[in-house]
Amino acid sequence: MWSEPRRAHPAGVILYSLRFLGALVAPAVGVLFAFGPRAEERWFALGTAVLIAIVVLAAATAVLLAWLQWRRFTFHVDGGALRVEQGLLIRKSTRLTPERIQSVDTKANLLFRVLGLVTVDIHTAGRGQEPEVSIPALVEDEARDLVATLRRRGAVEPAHAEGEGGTLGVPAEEGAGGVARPVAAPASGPAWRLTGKELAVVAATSNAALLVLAAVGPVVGALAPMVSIDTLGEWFAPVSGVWWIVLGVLASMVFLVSAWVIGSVATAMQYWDFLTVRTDGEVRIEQGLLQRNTRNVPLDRVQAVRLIEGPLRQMIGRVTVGVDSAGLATGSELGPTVLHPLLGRRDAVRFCDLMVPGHDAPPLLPLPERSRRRYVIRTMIVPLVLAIPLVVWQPVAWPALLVVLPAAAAWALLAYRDAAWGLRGDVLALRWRGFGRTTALVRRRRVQSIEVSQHPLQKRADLVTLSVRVAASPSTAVFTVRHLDAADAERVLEWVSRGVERTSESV
Amino acid sequence: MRPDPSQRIDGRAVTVWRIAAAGVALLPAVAAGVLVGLVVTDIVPMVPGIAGAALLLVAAIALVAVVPKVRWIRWRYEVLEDEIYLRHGLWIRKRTLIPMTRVQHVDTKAGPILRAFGLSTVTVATAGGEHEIPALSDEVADGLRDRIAALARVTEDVV
Repeated sequence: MWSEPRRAHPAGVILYSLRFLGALVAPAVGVLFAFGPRAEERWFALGTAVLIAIVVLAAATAVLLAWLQWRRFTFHVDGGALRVEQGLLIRKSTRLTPERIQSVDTKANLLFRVLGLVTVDIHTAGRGQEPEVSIPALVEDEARDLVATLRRRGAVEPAHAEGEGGTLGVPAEEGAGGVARPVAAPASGPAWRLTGKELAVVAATSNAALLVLAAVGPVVGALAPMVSIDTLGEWFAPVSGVWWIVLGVLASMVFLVSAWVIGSVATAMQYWDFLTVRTDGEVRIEQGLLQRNTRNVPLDRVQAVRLIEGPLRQMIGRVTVGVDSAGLATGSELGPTVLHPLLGRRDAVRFCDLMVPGHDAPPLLPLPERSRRRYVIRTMIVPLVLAIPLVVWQPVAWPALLVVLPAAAAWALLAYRDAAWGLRGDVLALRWRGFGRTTALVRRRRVQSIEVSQHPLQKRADLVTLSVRVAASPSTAVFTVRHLDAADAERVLEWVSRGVERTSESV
Repeated sequence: MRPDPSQRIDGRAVTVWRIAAAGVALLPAVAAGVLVGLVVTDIVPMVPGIAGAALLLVAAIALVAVVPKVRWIRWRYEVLEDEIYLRHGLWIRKRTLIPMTRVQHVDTKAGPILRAFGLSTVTVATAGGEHEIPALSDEVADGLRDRIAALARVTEDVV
């Protein structure tokens, strides 16, 4: 079936067209801004006509290029290896042996899902974010068959474990399930599915609202000068006195709430029907409402497991489980690949045991009392340095200090309390607080290097900062705990050096 | 605590770093000169002007005279069978341990100043980033590179 060179499904033209059009959007907006406002009245009609002509021409060019690119893309299986010919200007010929293939991911946008098509991304080591080969469109069954062929395991029909909502599914029997779904793995094992209720919690507690604010903020800032104070004065002429404040508070509340709603909806769409399945040597993740993605994380590429507790989720005792993996970046997001967005603390332990075995969290030990001081001073320095000139320059602003300084101190104490470490067998645990609280679990053979550093103030208190580096995509992951007892850090160093296996309990 | 790494880097490193630092030190030195000029032309008052110029000059001298020497004193390395152990750092003292099994490749490199002194820097790359042992004599650097390469190959392991 795969021995003759063939093209992808014609729908690939649509995908390529969208990509070309997407590349044209930024320059088009630039042109609009450069020439739009200056168009004089009498040239307006002509200008508009030219503009429309340019848009039509650009779209036509994009489709033509997409068609040519689709035509050029051919692939076949030759002696067990995948051969791909592609490239519009620069011809590229790729031969991928099964050994070189790290993982195969599939994705399908809304149109593709209706048509029963998937895009197949094939990742190799050392290519970072971009897949080595991306087959733009294939019928689902064909994609499955191609992957099975490449894996040289015969055409095993993948069976689906349909876990009961949120609870642990049993290994699926042969042929169970059979729901049409982009699948790129040969067999299925234990599965864990996110329930609708959990999805709602994931959406409500995500920090996507911050991302929305970060994206919208500059736009609002750029538009604000266009509305003059006078206009505002005219609009709100009847408003007076204290009502201005009420209005201001209401407006900012509406702003924040809508950011939260938009963020939540985006998150819900991303994590829609989130399913984690442990297959033979891989963890498969399926997710998404409009765009449905399937990712495969080979277990032997997992470098570290992270248990992440965002501030809101920590309050309700929920954990996000992610992994850092080397040589492949299957997600568009930076940082670890999310294996499950929302688990109770106890469930998280069971989940890790099932999905990424060998990462049992050792008992965690707190930092010594004397490092609390270092945390407080470290956190307070920036607010103090900023606050002193402000108060000298604008003495009226002093009440702000009553809010900022205690908040910084509270944050520092929280960071001190959350920092911890643990060692048992071949697993090291490091816990620290950034924005949320993260516990990293690293196996000894995954440690790329370890660094113990000490500045003069730490030296006085016999404290050090410990950093462990692991390989990860797109860049290295560094796990750092500050102000650890020097002797404890030394034990971690020796553990990396000699593999001395002592439990942190035994201190 | 484990003993410090046994090897020092080449003594000529101090000279090389001084030459490199001289370029950077030019900035505060020139600033000091400008400040003196401003004092002479009565644009800046005498006392703060002279004090500022003196401070800048001291910083420039420290950058060239003191910092490279202390940096050299702090730098130690040792290549053991199973690991590479580094210690360095002026203000923040760092000790780094790189398991030999994690070493992916090892290079020597030298910029124009290092070359003029017959020195090279050894770069050790792991999947988790690069580490440098700066300013070794060419013979030592080549020997070290080959030794690390051999040790890393012997203890080969998957990432």
